[in-house]
Amino acid sequence: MSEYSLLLALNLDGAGNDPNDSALAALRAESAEFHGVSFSSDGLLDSVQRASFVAAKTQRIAVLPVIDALFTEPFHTATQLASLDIISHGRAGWILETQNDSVQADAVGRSILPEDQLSTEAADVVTTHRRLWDSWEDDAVIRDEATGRYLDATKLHYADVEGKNFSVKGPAITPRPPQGQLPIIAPAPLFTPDGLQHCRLNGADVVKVNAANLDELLAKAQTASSKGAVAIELDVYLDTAGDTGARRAAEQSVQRTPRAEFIGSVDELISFLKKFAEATANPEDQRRHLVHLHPGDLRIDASVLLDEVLPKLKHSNLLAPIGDTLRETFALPVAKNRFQEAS
Amino acid sequence: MSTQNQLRFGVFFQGVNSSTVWRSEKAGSQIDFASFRQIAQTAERGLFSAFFLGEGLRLREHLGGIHELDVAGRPDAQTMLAALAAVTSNIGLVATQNTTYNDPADLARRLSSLDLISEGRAAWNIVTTHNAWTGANFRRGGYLEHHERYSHAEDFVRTVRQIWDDSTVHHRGNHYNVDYTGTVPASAQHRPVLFQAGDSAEGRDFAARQTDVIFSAHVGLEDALEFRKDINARAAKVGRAENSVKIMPGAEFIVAETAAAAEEKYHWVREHQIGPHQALAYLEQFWGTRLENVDPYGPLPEFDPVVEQSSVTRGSGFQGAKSLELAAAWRAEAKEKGQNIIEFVRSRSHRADHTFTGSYDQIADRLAQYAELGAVDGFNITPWLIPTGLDDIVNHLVPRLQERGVYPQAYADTLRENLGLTIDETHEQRAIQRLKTVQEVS
Ligand SMILES: Cc1cc2nc3c(=O)[nH]c(=O)nc-3n(C[C@H](O)[C@H](O)[C@H](O)COP(=O)(O)O)c2cc1C
Repeated sequence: MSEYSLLLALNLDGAGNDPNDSALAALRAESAEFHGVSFSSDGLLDSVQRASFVAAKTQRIAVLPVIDALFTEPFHTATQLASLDIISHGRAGWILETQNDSVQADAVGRSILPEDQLSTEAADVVTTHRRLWDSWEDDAVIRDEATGRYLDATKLHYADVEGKNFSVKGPAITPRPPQGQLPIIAPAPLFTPDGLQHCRLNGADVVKVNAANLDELLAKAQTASSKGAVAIELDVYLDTAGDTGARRAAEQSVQRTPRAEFIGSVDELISFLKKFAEATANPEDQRRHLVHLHPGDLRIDASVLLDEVLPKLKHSNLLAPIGDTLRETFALPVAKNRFQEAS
Repeated sequence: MSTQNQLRFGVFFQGVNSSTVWRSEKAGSQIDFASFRQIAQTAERGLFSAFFLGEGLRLREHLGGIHELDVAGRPDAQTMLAALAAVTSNIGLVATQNTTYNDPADLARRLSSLDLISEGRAAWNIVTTHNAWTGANFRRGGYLEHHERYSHAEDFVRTVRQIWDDSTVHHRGNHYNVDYTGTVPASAQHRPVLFQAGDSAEGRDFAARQTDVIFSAHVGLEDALEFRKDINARAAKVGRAENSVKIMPGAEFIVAETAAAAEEKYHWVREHQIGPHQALAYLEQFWGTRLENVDPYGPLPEFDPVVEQSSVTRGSGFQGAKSLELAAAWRAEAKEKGQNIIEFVRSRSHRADHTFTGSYDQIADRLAQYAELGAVDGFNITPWLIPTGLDDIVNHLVPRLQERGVYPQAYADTLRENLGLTIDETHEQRAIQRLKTVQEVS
């Protein structure tokens, strides 16, 4: 069924270096009933910190930082994401990227990776996060006065990850996050059999497909949706009362991104979103699929989205309900703890 | 405005170790955001300069297993501080981050980001933890020798400062290379304030060269004066003005309306920090074996430690003490003072001389003396209870310090100003230049 399966996230880059502007935009997105807001690591404010600042100012909306998986420390990023999930009460997700460029590599004195190693490296990194997030069982803090024990050591576990390029011992220094496992959204090319393929415990949750044009994007999303939750990304340039999206997009042509572009009217966007929901619909399951919208101009296009698109969608049967946690919003099952299951 | 030296308060949210009481109904969550928010907002109500988060990048272990007896489980410092920036307006936000398991460019970028997010309230407490045991959680592993820790730290801090001052850095070092151009503009305080915590001679020289404030372990008045002299001498050697390196020792406050009530509170706090299990565990890290058959209400064990050096509790800061010698000395000390194990450990715990216990007025008088003598620039207070552990201090001690003219009456704009630090003009020029560069690039 295609009803109530659509999730919408709004990218807040371009909000500038005043986090209050991001927070204000996120609050507007929250009252418009967007499911999430995202923050790129664009070299300015840190994506996790922006998400964290916004989490403290909002109640329901998911916070989705983009974090590179190659030139970061998995132990640090796992701690950061777990902390974000704690601060947001289970509203955190990770938009995973592999930013395999020399600027990133040189900054940490490493070299870029051969393209054919990206998916296995990402898999090692994701596995590390998964195992660290499970390394505290939910009830590891016992505060047992009789025995003087704050923790129950039998409920803490070494992650013991031996990756190809690094190893991580664990356990985490942060308790298990409220969602247990944060939803991870990762690019489709990483979903190779020895990469992020949906193996039950170490894969990513949502596959992000990319294409140069909208038809191709829908076709790819449709194929991918048979295996799991899907995300697509769009740059949007929308018509306004006095101007057209097409004219503004043409003006922007210097800064084109690899994302597909949606250029048109509010109603055209709504009908595209409907097509996406139908293409990804699967009669068998309740899966939700995400459209990640990047306003061409945060002030203009975000306003059209917030003031016109979302109110119209509210009265359709497309939008999925917002859950208490991001996992719930994605209709992902409760994340069982691998260590608990084993015992 | 008084010409008295002003004392500043910081709050150190511990999150590990036995300093935070958990065996009480009054003890709240160590991890919920609400606890951090409450402490930070209470501190801000009391015009505290700074909110500190510590860092420990490996969970403490004891006798080969996870240490169970103390509070544990902390958030990532900068992620938490970014959230606290959203619910506070003036208090400084200090992240303890080590120079061994971070990358300079990444840390420089994230600290600049926190500084902007908090509108000029960020600081970095530089620590040099460097053991291979912690390294097991990181790509680099245990790559650093003990004697290299400060040469490495200095290299690291210089690199970070160069990114902040000049934007671009090309660094070739023993342990890493960095080619990076910073993209985050400077905040209202130009760069994050630098704290340092580490007490060896090398650590002190490093602080005198590189940092704005020392988070010290010298609390007693004599000790604090001695330390001030030592730091001033080291700073003078590198051309820094007297008292330009600020000093804030870590301290615990147990205060109440009357001296008797404070004394009663003191006993409650110590009983709840160190119970029989914690006392035995304290000895076990030196004895190197379980002491489960030893009576915590009896004398120290007559048998000798089974290890030469304490190494069985990891992440506690006691590595490498000579166990046999210590055990003999302690047995003698406890016997002489007529102490059983619990009493001995409670008196041993380093907090014994880091604690101010007394009535609000007594403590205000004592602190005024510190201010008068210029012994310290303030204190970093570790609350023994989360999240209400600052209430008495803010409600009762702070107003008395203000009456005595030794505590701020209002906030300034940035952390740098709130700490009484001056802005180095060359830094200011450079930061302005950097802002221009960043704007041209973007
Ligand atoms: C008051 C104080 C607080 C400290 N807090 C931390 C901390 O939170 N995390 C950490 O890794 N090290 C911490 N340290 C340890 C120091 O960074 C340093 O590694 C240690 O003191 C050894 O350096 P030294 O030989 O110069 O004393 C602290 C030290 C002091 C004195």
